[in-house]
Amino acid sequence: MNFNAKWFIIFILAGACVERINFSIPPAQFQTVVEGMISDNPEPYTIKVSKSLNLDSDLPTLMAVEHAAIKLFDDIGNVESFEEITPGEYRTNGIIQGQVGRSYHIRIETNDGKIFESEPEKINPVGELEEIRYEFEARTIEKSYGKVAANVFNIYIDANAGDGDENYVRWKYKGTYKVVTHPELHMVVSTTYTPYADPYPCSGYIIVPALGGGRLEKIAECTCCICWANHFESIPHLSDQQLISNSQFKNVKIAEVPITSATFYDKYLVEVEQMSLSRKVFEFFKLVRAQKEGASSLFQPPSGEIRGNVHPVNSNEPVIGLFWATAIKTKSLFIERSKVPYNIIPIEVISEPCNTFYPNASTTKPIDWF
Amino acid sequence: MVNGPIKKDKTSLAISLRSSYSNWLVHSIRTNYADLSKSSVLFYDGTIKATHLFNSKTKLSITGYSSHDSFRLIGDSTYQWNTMLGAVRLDHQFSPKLSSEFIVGQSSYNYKAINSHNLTASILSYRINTTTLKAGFNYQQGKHKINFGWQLTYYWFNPGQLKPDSPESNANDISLTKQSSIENAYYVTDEFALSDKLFIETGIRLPTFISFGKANVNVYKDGLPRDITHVTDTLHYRWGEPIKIYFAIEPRLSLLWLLHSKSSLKVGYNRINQFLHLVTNTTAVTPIDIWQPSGYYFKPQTADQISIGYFKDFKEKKHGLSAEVFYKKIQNLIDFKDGAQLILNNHIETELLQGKGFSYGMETSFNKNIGRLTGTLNYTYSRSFRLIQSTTSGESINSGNKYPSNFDQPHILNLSWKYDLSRRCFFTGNFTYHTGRPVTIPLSAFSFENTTVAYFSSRNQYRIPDYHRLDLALIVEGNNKRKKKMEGTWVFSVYNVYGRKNPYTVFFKSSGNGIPKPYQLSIIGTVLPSLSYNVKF
Repeated sequence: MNFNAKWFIIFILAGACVERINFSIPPAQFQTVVEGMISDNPEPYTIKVSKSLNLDSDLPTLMAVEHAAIKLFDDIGNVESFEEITPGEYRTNGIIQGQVGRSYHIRIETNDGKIFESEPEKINPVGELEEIRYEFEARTIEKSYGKVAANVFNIYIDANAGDGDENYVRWKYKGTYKVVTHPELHMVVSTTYTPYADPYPCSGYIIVPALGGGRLEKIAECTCCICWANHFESIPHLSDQQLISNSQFKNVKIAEVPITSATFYDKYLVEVEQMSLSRKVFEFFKLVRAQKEGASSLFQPPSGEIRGNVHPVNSNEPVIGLFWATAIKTKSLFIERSKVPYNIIPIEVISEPCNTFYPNASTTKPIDWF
Repeated sequence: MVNGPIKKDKTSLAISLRSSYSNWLVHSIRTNYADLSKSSVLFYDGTIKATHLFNSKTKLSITGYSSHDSFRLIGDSTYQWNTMLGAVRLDHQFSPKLSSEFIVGQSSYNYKAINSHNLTASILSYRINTTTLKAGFNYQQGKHKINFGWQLTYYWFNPGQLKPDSPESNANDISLTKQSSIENAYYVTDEFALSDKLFIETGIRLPTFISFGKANVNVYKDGLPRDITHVTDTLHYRWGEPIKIYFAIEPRLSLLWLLHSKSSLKVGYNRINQFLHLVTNTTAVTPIDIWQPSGYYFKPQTADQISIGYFKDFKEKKHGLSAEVFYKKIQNLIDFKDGAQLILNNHIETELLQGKGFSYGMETSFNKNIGRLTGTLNYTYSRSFRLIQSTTSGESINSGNKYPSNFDQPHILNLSWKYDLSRRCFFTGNFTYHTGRPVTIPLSAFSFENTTVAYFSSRNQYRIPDYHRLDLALIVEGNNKRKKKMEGTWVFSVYNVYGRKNPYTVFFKSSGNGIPKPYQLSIIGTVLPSLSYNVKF
């Protein structure tokens, strides 16, 4: 019998590591980025033109492409020019209105003579957004200090994509909720001085001298105490993941509304837009979705090149962009605070302006809010 | 390893077991990306083989093999690969001219991703089981050596299953439809000499592949992209009912021409059908393979290859040189669409496309067999491309232009040598180099609808860093006495001499601003010296 025994005396300097790879890639600033759409809604249409960001950008601040000449064309010979309203953002004046069945494209000429054109995009019929509804779901999440409630309202829709062979649909979600803060209670805390009151000017309060070190006095109405903050979808919702029958979509989950003392300080407005897409635009959003979903997954789906439908005409300059045409049907509903099946604790007292403390918040009351 | 007779000249048994010490190796991993000190790596395998000679003409072998790989690199996820093989083989010689082998085999391969986080605890698993029956015969008549036989393989696939793994887990219970198929093949080959200088090996294999139910198969509208929204009908197949049957013919021909006693020329052609398609997503922390059997949606992959090789010996076979060029053309290979969702997708056919591929290259080898310095140098230059195009929007890859396949590594070089310092002392080494494989990477980012989106390159247009590594070893054997009870050997080796951080995987991780950045994971990215003592008695 053979016996083979093996033993090791090992001096290990072993190591493995996860580290950045730096590929030799062309500078990002060469790529022009175009984002815009036309719909069948009677409104001015907007185009944004910018340069792409370097991968090592710490902050995704856009480098606007200014002073470009942009024109919108339809398929019956109408042309309208865009006007630059803010650096890199261009808007029509409402001469051309999108119509179902018509095709549209844009032509961009930058101030260095480069021309880009989008492929013609037809506004397809959108069908009907039939119903929005919500259901309460009790949840918990685990924090370092234990489990905490993370209850939500799930938002579902029923929809019809309309007649035709190729009905590509996107559902765009927006949530709005009212919040209050108390910027008049703002204090300056420093290691050098005793903390002292320092109300924000927008609170309408000032400090007036008084016995014992000053007191708050209201001199005007607060302009940053009440806000309406928005939740936007982080991933596009597309119709390809739903099994349908006769173009009918049932119980499509669109969003989750987190139940907190802020989101249900008053009530919550749910708005869903059903948008028709061409195949090309659908593919664009599908890739965006795959990338966003993959970012949080260990099983990253293979990402691909997202180019869109805008092409260079007189140069080889790479361009990323999408000018799309869509018909839109919108539905909205309010979820009242009373629908939360338990008592919500009062909203936290925040001594900051509401429009800076809450993300995507504005002091302008939405038209649909009543 | 234990190897020895149970009954002298009749029955023997061999058992071997291996395991690794890498669990504590990985604890020394340094990274800014994740805490790998809580990671674990485990590997073991074992083989058992029993052989019994009934008589001089009949032999029975029973073999079993099991392996287990497990690692946890990030967070609460553990990845496991398990393989089990078992086979019974009977060799029998009917006559001096006719011998045979009969094999019954069973194998099981499974892959698991185990999430042990309390509220999302789950096990994601895949499995392929195969059962094989084979009868092979060798018949020798004059100058002819004829092999013929039959092989039947049953495949069972679990293409994905997710099960909650704790009572508190919120994970969904998802189980994709299991798939079954059978491959049946007859084959015959003949080796014979046409003359003293010309040898021929020719043959044919006739495989049949049947994919069968139980299954529900969606029918999609013709001329439109394969989307769930384009389903027109669903076909229901009962258990055992054939869904799709493929017949194929696989001819092969190889000519060996002895130019003279020291050199030869070899020309070959063969066609091979592959009924199981391999889809690999390589840009992930844990690359996984998905096996997709041919069936209703996917035709078998067919590869035709021609090759021409030249072989020459020098100086009484002290040196050998060979060079071989090849060209391979592939039809119906499978690749995934951009942004494909490959995991737990019950409609995987909507994420995969079929197209063409081709590869070509030259393999060269030089070896020195005699003298104090011996060794082998192998160099291969090869390319491998794919072309998947369609007139239907969204059904092409890389805009319908050819692109390098995941396996396209133009330069591969391997050098190994042994230098005799004395009769008992040797200096050995190994150097390996290959071009980094292709990868699709983010080039920049852009803002779209208030979110940051990465702009990726065309498919496989960049490459991960090249792989190269030098290993050296000094071997000192014990005394050379013939009568000794124990034989010991000291081995001092250095793995990865210059501490190259070769990438094991490349993946992309979004930074705080939503821009994905490429990272590489190197497993042993530093010098690894070791001293071992082998005992044999």
